[in-house]
Amino acid sequence: MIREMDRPTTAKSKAPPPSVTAHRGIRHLVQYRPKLPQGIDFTNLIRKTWPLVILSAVLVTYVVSVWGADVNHMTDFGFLSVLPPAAYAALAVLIISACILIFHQPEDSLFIFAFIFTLVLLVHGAPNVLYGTLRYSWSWKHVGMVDYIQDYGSINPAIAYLGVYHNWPGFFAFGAFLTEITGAQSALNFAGWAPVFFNLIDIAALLFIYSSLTTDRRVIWFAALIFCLTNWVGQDYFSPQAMNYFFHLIIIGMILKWFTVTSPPTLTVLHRIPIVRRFAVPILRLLSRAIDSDAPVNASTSTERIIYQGIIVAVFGVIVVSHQITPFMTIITVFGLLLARQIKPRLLPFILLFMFVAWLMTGARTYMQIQVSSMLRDLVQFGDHLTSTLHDTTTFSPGQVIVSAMVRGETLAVVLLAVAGAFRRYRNRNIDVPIIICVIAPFSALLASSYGGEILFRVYFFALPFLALFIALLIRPTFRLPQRWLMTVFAAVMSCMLFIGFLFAYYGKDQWNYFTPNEVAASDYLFNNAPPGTLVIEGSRNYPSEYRNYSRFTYLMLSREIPLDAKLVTDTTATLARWMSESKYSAAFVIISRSQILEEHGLGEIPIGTLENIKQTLLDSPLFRVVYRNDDVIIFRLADKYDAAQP
Amino acid sequence: MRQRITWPIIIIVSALSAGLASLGFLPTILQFLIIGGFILVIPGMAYIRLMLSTPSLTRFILSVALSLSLSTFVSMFMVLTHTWYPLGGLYFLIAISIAGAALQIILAPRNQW
Repeated sequence: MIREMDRPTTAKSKAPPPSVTAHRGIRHLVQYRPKLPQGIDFTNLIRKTWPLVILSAVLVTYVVSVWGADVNHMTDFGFLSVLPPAAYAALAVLIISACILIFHQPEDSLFIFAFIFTLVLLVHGAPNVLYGTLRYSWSWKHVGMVDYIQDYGSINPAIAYLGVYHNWPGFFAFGAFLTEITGAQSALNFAGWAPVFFNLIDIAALLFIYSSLTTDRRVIWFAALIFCLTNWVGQDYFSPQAMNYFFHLIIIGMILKWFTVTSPPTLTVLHRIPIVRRFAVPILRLLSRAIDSDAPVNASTSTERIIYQGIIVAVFGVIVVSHQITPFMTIITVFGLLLARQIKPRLLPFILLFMFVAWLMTGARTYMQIQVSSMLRDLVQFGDHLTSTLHDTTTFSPGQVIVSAMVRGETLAVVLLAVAGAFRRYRNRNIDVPIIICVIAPFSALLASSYGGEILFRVYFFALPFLALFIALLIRPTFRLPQRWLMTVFAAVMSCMLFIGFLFAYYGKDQWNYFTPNEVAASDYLFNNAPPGTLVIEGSRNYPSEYRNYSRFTYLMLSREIPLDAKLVTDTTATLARWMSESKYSAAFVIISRSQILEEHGLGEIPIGTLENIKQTLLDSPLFRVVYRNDDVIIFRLADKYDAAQP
Repeated sequence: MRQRITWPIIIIVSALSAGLASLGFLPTILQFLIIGGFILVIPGMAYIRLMLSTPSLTRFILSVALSLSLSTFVSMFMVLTHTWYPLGGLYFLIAISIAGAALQIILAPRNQW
């Protein structure tokens, strides 16, 4: 689909060396020189060693500078605020060097991969090493679900809390299986490395996709680099969506590689389709321009194609049982390609659709029965789906307003650059229909659901691999040297700018996405000591919660109850005491932590200071007793129940 | 010959190492790396190599996807049928990997040995 416009110049070192013995007769005698040891080819030596030197320098600089970073003193800008200038410099050098390598030594795949690998390791691995605890509150809940399967060896689709995970349990079953057979005891032991792992396998999948669309290594590698620099959504943590995203990419890659059409449909065929009959000629012209005769040859036998379809069905089977939205994205993309007559197997999309519906009606039946009315309501209010993602920033702290602006700016920049890339291709008389469909198809999810206010993030996430490809096509240079350097400079500047946006978007909320060891210790105390049937009243869900014995407790979030029940603010002690003394609970705790308060300050979803006021009110009240306290967390119980429980 | 039997040998050695590591006499990190590495690549590689003659990068990517899929199916089967026995699942994956490797050796054309 994307042809290599011009050929790379071969390195001088590859030219055959002048051979003395090739000369004959007198000329041979005249030109004879005693055989001396060959001199060192410094140009070649520098060419082969500079990436290694830069890589080593970057690694040493980054590790040494970041080692002493104090993550307990993060400000409103999260992890950004504790990274020393030397670390930023190291990352900038890494990105600029990667650009130079990609555009000037694209044949050095191993070095380019090493640069991208290092980038992923530093960006996604550093928080895990420095924090020492699992990032993101949702990761802890996913560990809790794995813990549930380890404990019970089964699922309960009708369970009150985290029921959605019991209806799509594939990832958690795999997580429990992996935890058990590797002797890890808890998924907490490896979940922190999930972002590094998932980003690396995603990059491998992207290389697979891109290599099926172009033979130009510079485009392939630069698109992969751009993906790393713009994937700020943070869906790479220990979660079903992270694993299923990889599977989604594999399926799309296989379809683009082995099932795309190699010739446009005939006019007769287009005339048979009622909707397009009137526009048959322009459509045919468009499709003809979309099929590139110089696209990589991905020939396969009919037997191989059957096997490929079998693999696609198997991989999609895992997606279907593991996640709600990913199968939708896969199906919509595959159907988009089918409707645009870009792929051959007509039955395959329908098989995938059947599998999706079959799981909704069997494995996820319980969830669907409970949620069907709210899902239909959500479907009708499709106008709100977009706005639900775009939060009102007036309640945000000043730092978070900047972070939010950077997120929006980054997203807009990626989209605009990709559009410019597509336009450049159009001007060169190429219309990349399959790539355009892969970009547009995820947007149809906006009509279906708000997905808890996250739908726009997910749309961006699924469109990103192909947006990145268009950006790489925008700045693909020719092989003429001055233009190549010009484009390299442009690529490096653009990459660094995008990376600045990424850093704000990806690390900007880490002030409360990071949990201190004190918070983990308090949660350990709570979830290990609370008897079954306990009511856990949480300031908000943002703390290490539900990761152990989660199904034994009932949860109540103050941040959700406060807007619904004004008495919780005006008459805190009486309201909480009433809830906590209900006889259906064997015990009741209130937990208020540092990360809950920081999130409240950052996002302002409840009036700032509410949780601190509640904490102070409970401290002052004789009705409540502090049962656990450290610098970051305080846990209360009702005094009479606590005293009665003491031996 | 060497090319034909290198991967089957790697598959068999990796499968047996995973089986031995599951006995629990190794440090946890080593056990995790051996079994995790096996789960990530080997079951898929045992069959992808048998079925397809694609370039090595493609083969590797498809092996990872198929391996993770197989492991998820095995664990889902145990969960849904209330037969949760993770070690049994691992041994099943080891068995099918060795079977795939054996088939690779058996079905390789004789003239390439």
